[in-house]
Amino acid sequence: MTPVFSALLALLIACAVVVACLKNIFQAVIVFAAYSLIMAVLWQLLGAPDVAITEAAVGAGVTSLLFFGTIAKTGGRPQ
Amino acid sequence: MTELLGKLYHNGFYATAAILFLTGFYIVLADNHLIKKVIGINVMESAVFLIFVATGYVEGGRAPILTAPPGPGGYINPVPSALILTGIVVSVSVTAFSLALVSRIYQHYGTVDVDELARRRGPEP
Amino acid sequence: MTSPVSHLGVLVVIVPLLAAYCAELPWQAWRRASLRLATVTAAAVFGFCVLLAAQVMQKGALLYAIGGRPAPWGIEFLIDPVAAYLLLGLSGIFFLVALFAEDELEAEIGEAGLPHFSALYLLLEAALLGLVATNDLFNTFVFLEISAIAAVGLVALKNDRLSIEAAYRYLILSTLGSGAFLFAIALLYAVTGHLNLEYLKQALAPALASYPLSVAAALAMLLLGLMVKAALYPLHIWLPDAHAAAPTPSSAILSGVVVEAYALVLLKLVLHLFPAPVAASSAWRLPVLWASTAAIFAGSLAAIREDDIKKMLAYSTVSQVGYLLLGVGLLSRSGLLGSLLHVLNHAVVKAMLFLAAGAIIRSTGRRRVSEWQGVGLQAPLPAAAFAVGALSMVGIPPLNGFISKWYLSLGALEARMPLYLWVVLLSSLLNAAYYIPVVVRCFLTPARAGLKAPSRPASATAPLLVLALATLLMGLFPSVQLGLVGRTVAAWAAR
Repeated sequence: MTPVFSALLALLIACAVVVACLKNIFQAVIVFAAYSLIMAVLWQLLGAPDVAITEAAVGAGVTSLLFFGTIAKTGGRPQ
Repeated sequence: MTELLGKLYHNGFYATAAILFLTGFYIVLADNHLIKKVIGINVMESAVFLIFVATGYVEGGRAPILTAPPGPGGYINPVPSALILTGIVVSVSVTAFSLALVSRIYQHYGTVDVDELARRRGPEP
Repeated sequence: MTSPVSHLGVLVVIVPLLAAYCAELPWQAWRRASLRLATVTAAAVFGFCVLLAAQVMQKGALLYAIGGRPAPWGIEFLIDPVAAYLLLGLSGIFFLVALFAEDELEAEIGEAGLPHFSALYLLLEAALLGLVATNDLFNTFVFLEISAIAAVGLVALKNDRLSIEAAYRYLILSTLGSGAFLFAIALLYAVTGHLNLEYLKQALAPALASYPLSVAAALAMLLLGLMVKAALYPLHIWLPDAHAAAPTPSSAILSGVVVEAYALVLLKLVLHLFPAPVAASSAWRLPVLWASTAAIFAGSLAAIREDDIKKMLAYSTVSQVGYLLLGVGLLSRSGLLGSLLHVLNHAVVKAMLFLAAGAIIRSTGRRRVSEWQGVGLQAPLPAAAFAVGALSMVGIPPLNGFISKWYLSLGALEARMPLYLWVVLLSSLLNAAYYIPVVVRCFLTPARAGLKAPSRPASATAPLLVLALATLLMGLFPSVQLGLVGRTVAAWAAR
């Protein structure tokens, strides 16, 4: 377990916990996109570039767009 | 139990994946926001993909692209990558579908909050 | 591998899958035709299953390597006698329900919804038949997800507020279940390096010795994930709303086929993936048995209180899932046999009950059972089918519900757990407590002044007749079913 891996894993956990705690849905989606990007970097380092690029495009890209679209449609706030 | 803790300490990937999975699980169950629950599902599923990637990882290995020479540790196992690609597609379609349902719910009830939803639905007829 | 007959095993999945895409063609004139396409496809698939079953009867279990790549690298379909039996039964129900939908569905969801229904219906058929046939763990996951999305779509079709909300809850909980399932696959793959069930089975016993905790965690997650999907009490909370809010043909399929298929996957995986010492341990059997018992009683009690007929049937499904998994927990020969027979017995009966209830609601406009006085005179055929189904659910002897309960009771004795014999007996009384009064009200009380029943087209009555006949015949000649699956189940139990 190299320091780079440890740092990335710690960042992942931090992002997930922040997503869990955030009340604002808009911010939560942004942090989730960051989480997906970190995941993609980690997978690239783990020797799975095809998965990494898919995760970056689909997990961080398309999924975030879907979330933003839905937030826009539903008024953006919890109430 | 000590065996488990020792293993978790030595294998950060599995431990992290377990923590992320539980965090996602917690978000789905505990959060009141319908969209946030969907985020929770995504957090949970990518945690599982992390296990798959870690399973296929070979120290010093390289991606199995056969025109490139193998790394000092040979190639990594390509099967988990193939599984995850399938998994990512599945998770995106589930996300898109549940978000579509969320916006329909908003059209019907005018809210995306679970408690508010229960209130507006009123008591069981 | 040249004659098309040798590809039958995979055609039962591919044909409905391709037809599902054709069902969504955007022409206005196609809308009604898409339903016909669903019926014709379902009929064709049923035909394939008949041929397949004949082949399996003749030559024994059939292995099909998809793309010609053999296991452990390729994905494998295994059609053993049990799979052939279930493919036959489930595809038959799919055909009959599609036939029913041709006449009844448009009134419920409007013409514009028909292509969506047909596409989702065919997708669901492909996924569920694939679940029965596949011999690969990851492939099982993929089919589980396809079937979940299609099933949720079928609930959401009605597009009123209740069904949309029920669909959302169904999707979220079902995805939690498949998340746990996928986690289990990842762990199992990490410790064994296999996804094919046969190879996993061989590799798991040694893996259990080296990684007891990982294997135990994986099996627990597997069980938990499938218990959510099969709606075993107390993880059933999504079921009653979803099954009651869906349009009638969807309800019939969801309650009659989907839940059963998931229970069957659980049975199949327990038999393949639990190495002998784990399989015998009470660490998972007792929780499953307790949950099944709780399901049987809690589901029935909730059904007794329910006045809405579709909700009552949905709660009845919650209790029937208890029977399906009781035999898995008992793990004795007759117990397994009881569960397996109950998969198809309950599928036939519950599909018939939902269709009959839908037909009665449509012709009398009454959803509440307390208003069903004299309905038997207004809609004689659906009411008669409902009565047959109700009696079978209670477990009255010549009908098929009795057969599965009989074997479950025997299984309890074989497993030396006579307590569960009493569970089966007592629960029959509870079932009687909510089904019999409805039947009595239908036929033995004078009708309220109400609507005159419209005449039913033949295709809507034919499925009810066939299902009622099947209920009777499966009960009268249980030896036919036993002849198909008996030997395989004996081999499972002797493991």
